[in-house]
Amino acid sequence: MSLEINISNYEEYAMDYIDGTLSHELKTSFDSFLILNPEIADEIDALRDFEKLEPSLAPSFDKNALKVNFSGAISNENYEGYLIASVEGELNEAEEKAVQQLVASNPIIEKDYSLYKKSIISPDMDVVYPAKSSLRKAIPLWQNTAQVAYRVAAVLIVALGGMTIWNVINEEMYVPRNGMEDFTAIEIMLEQKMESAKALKKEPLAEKEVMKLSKTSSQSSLDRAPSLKQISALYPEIAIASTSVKERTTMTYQPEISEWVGDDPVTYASANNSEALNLNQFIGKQFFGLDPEKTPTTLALMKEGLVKTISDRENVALNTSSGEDSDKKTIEFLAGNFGFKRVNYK
Amino acid sequence: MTVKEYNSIVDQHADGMYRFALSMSKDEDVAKDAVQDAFVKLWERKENVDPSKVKSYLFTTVHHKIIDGFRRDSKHQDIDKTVILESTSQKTHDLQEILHEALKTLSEIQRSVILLLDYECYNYEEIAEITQLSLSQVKVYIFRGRQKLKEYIGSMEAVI
Repeated sequence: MSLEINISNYEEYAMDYIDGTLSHELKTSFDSFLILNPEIADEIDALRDFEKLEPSLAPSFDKNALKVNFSGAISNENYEGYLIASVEGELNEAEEKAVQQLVASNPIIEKDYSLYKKSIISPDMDVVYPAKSSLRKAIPLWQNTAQVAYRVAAVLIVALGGMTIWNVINEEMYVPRNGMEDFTAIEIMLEQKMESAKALKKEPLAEKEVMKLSKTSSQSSLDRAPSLKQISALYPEIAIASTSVKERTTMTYQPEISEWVGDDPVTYASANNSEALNLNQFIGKQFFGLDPEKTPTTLALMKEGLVKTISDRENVALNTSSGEDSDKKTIEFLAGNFGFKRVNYK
Repeated sequence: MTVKEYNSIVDQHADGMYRFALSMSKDEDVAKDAVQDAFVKLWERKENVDPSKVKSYLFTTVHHKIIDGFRRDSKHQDIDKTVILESTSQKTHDLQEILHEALKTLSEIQRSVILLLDYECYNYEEIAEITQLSLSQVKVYIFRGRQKLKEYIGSMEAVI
């Protein structure tokens, strides 16, 4: 089977073709290929002409120029190597001394030495990599302790703050605080009583009492709420409903959000005193037991809050009040061992 | 190697690598690519690179990237010569500018070893490691390169 010469393999046979050492079969194949590819034929002709050049026309090559002598005593033959090593600081003390003596003794060598000294290239420090930030990599969260601290704190605060606000403004199930009177239950019972009275189209004296109690109840904070004794004296069924909170693990209460007007100004205060705090101070104090003066900002709160833990948040109680004659609505929120009062002004 | 350590290495060496690559290639894009490639490779092999030899690893990568680029681009030499002719005619008088012009008269390997020596103050052994040449070869390349620079400066002084 004859081998076909083509564009992919012709280079392999080109020099043998020019030298005339191809087999007859391959030469025939190569000739056929050149007929079909005249541009390759021109290339082969050019190569053939080059091959015909007389050796004497080739440039002379000084093999001695390849030799470099880096060793031995300094001399006229090897001094350049020493000059270069000197300007590059590669010589020992004795060699350096010998070079300096040679330089001082010969003006031509001194000139060379001067030029070699000038050949040291200084980098242009104004040239900098233009997109260094693109080379950098983002530090993963787990490798950046500062970020971890801030993010954990932020998550805690957002979660806890969000939970607090969620509880206040959304329909939610609350677990009354153990041992605390359940004012929500009382409000519901009063409401049911009023509605049943309306249904009977009666306007008994008792309803006036209910209204009075309701008003008192709605204006109350925990310490101003009517006592169960007062209510149950009028309505025995309420006394039945207002059993110990301990016996009732859950109950539902829906604040009448639609009646609320605006959110400003909003203040937060401890349930036990009237101290006015901003949200950061409130969370810091109630969740972490921090000094409000040290946590006026979110950042300060995050920094301080990390080292604290939250305890006893199992039980949550809620109470609201809105006075008919007052321009404010109050919501009291108690969770575990803390509580706060939110006042919204109409 | 953590991300923080890697970023610190970027800050320490990116500029020097870029100056070296730019002086070698005379092409900003080629230089940028070489630096970027070196850091990509470093990150990929971060577990295997000896921390004490990170700089050497980076310069080795840049050196090979540039040299490979020269070899791939067969037209480079022609372009280089053209630049030399144009630049010489400008008769730049500042020594450092003259030297940077003179660098173009060196072969890629000569240029590389001279730049590693002058820009980064590597010693001959370190240059041999980076360029994967023998110590003798490095000395010869530096000798030849330095001779060419000297001749170029001498000729320019004669013109001036």
